[in-house]
Amino acid sequence: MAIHEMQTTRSRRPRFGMRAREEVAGYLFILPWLIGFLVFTAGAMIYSLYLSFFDADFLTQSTFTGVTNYTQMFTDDALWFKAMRNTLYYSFISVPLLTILALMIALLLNQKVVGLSFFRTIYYLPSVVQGVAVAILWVWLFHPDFGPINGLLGLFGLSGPAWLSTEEWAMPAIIIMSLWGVGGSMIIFLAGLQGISQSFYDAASIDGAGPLASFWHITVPMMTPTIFFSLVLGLIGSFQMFTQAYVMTRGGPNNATLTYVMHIYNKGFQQFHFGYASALAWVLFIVILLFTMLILKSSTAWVYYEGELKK
Amino acid sequence: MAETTAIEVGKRVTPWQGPSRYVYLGRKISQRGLVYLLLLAGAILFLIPFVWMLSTSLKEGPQVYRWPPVWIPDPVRFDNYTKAWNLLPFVQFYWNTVRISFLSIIGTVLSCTLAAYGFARLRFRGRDILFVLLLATLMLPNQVTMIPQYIWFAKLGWVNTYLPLIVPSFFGNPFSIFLLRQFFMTLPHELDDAAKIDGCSFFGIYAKIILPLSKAAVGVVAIFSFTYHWNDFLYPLIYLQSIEQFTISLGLRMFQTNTFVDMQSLMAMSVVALIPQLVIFFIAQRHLVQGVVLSGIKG
Amino acid sequence: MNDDQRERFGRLSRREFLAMVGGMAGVATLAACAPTAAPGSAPAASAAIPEVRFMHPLDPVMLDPAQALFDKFKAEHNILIKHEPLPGEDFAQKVVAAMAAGTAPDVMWGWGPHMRLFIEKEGTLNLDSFIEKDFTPEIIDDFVASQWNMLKWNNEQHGLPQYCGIWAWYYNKRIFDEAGVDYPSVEMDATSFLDAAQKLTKRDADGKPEQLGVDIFYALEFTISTHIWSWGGEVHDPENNRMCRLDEPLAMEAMEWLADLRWKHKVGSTPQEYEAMRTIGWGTFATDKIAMKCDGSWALNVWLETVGKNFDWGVFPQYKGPGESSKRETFHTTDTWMINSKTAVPDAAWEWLKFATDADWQRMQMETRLIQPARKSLAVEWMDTVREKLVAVNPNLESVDLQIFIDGFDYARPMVQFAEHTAAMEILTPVFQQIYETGDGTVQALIPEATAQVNELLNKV
Repeated sequence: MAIHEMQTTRSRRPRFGMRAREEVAGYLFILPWLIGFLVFTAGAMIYSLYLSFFDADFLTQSTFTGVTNYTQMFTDDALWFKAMRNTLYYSFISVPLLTILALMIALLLNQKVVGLSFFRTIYYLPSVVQGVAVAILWVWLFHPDFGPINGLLGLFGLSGPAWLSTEEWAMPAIIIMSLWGVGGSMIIFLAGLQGISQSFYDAASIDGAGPLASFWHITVPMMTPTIFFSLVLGLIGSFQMFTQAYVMTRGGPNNATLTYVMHIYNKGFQQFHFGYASALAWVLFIVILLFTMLILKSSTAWVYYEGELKK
Repeated sequence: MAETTAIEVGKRVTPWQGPSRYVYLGRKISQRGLVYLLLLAGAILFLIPFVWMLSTSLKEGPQVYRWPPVWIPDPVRFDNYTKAWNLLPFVQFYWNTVRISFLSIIGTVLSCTLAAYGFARLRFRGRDILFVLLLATLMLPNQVTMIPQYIWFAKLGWVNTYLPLIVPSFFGNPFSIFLLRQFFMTLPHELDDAAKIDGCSFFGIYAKIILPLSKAAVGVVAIFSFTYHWNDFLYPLIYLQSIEQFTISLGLRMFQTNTFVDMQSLMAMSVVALIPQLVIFFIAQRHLVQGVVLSGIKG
Repeated sequence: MNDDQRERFGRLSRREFLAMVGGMAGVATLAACAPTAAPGSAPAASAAIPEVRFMHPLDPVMLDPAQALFDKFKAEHNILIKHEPLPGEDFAQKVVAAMAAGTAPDVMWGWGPHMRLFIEKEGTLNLDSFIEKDFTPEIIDDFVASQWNMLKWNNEQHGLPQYCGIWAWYYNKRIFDEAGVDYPSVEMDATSFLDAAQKLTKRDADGKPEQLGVDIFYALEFTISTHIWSWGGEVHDPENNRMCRLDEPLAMEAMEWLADLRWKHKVGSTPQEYEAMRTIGWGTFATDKIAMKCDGSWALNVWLETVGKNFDWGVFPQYKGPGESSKRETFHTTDTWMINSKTAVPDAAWEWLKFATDADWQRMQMETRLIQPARKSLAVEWMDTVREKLVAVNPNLESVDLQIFIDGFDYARPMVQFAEHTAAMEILTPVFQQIYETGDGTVQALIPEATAQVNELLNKV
């Protein structure tokens, strides 16, 4: 460092040194993740990208096919568009619904209510029921004649459709089923609500703000970091929805519930076109990345962090 | 100080000038009532499938497949539970799953809080790009990374061990890191600054300020980690070979064969597998996520 | 930090902190002590005893008897069998991953496309030399010939059949009794079948089914092919699976007759009705609303469990078609045991293969889940065992004609398999969907073109 700097910027020297230390510290803190990424994940991701330029089945020599997998996707694969369309449909409807529902339930369960712990556990319960039990359950729930869902609709004078065996209602049925798993998002929102100081609400009520005003002007802004999290992960997750549709309908009827990842699974594990499956996956990756970047960029406008770190 | 009602529809009222005390009470009861009504209705909705599971688990074979479905089993076969428990080495499965889950929770909490702190609080070159990279790892479906990863683990000699199920937890996972980062970013900077002035190191801030204030978020991460590993099917399926190593989820799947699904056993053991998760959740949320009273009642 | 912030974010008291640290230390110790390797993996086995890794999806009720057999095998042959279960129905990921990484076991169970793929990609051992050494012609003859041949590839034997599943029909006696219709028998043909189905179908004023004659599902490899054969037609040429013959008159007739069952005579359910009538999993037979249902011999166990003594039922073989060319046909199916071509213990693996296809293991399958054995010499024993188990639940099942399954040994053939089956099915499945599921296509309109497309695909130079 130049002598004149030493003399004139003594007050700033500790900060400069500290900045370098902060850089090092930053890397150290994320080091476990970074190492894990490099060792466990990066290789597999790169390999699958590599594979997407081949015709591969993992058992025999793969043949180099260049970009054929990618072009084939758009020209020769009738199911590609259907799968993409179904996935977008599922995602754009279920993610907002799930987020709103999770927030509402979290608000309800953030009050001093008798049996609060029990209520929370009950709402959390469905998100951890696994496997075939869920599928069987929901097939019965959506049963056209004896299922409770059509039963409920019947109470309102509506005649419910045959859900899972109809093309128009199969995907909505799966969306409804995924709403049942709201418990996971709910506890994230609960944790987020934790962080909002009571003093805000007190100050607001002293000023005469009603509950709706409190909600809009305190709760929502303070929850934006959590809402942002829920939206981003909801988006990423919903674009890759597979298990629910697979166990419920196997993609039927007539591919109405064929999701993109199910298509990948079929191409890979049923037909052994792993190169093509990898290409499909990377196209999905780009799509998800684009949407995520959109949300990320927009977040500066609507997400409020109390402890935001500007660069 | 007089009580203010929890949900009062936008009236600019100070208590002592408002409507009579009885109207307040009335409103309060009806609004509380509404809350309870909603919660109960939702709870019933959410419980129905579980009740059905329970009901099926107590039925006799032919009654399971009755159409329309029968709600109350007759006769009630509690021995479905003991039979199913004895059909497979569930004690071993539970012990295996507990070990995997608990170790993974430790690893996850440690590694993810560290990384999240780095992303949330520290400035370093490439931070934002690395953060996007973090998210990007979630965007490639595991159907295509699974086999390359398996081949890699096979080369390491980790197939047929628990290592692929536990070790990666100690190196962070994007979901938890993201969640914690969001939460850390809501903590005010003044706390950090105060600590720095006191001469606290970055690690000190992490350990003594950030972590203690994040019980709720860390709790959520722990709960998720536990649930994920408790129910994980895919990794145990491909990495574990002999039945002594199996986890609960694999055990449950064994009731589904090519030709037949032993429904009662499957439901019975599914119900049993739910219980630890519910107990842990119940305890954890009670201590970590305290309900905030949105009304103005001071303690 | 001030009180409000402390209040807001919760305190971490000294006690909590110590508890946390103590807890983590405890678990860390546990982690260090607990073996991360599987408790079951013994240290490198002493060179004396060879180990054979046997991947097979054992039903939980078979675990104990199987272990007894593993022990017996070890006592007799000094070979340790390490059983690796395949849980659930979607084991594709496990099997493919193992094959890809070279961690596949010594003896593998296989079914369907994965089996074929593994065989074709040279993942399985050619068993010819072993068979020549150890199997007398009598033993080979004891297997069902067409099952045996089905597991050949390039004229080499690559697998042994695990069991024999014969496809036939089940009927509900109560429904027949109520309507006063004679029970089906071996004599039944397509005409009498349709007749019975119509008499046994009851629909209410709105056309909704109260009782159906047939539980019908349409899949090429199962019902469609069986009917085509019974009419005297072929799906693909028996000698040449690159020649699709669906557009020939007999095949077309059979397919139309099948479609009529659903759309014209309405003796079977529409897809929506099927959805409305089925119980979890096993179609509609157990609901006591279906007169006749087709299924394999493995379903005997399913009805035992799901029907119990709710109603009496019986069996009859796949009926012949109506014309002169009609034949007695059905398909058989089996799962396979194969030896990994990269195994280090081929001789030991072969010993196990012999054992598993022999009486002890086959008997175990019979007794636990009524599975029809792969060995013809065990046929009578199988019938006795099954009858015993059925009668124990419902004495009226004494008269179930199990002989028809045994007869199937002689005439059943393997399921259809095109040379490039998956690709061919990609053309055919949507066509069948239109004909049978949505009902907006006819056999006449769609099949000829589809056949042409399939032939083009299969004979691409």
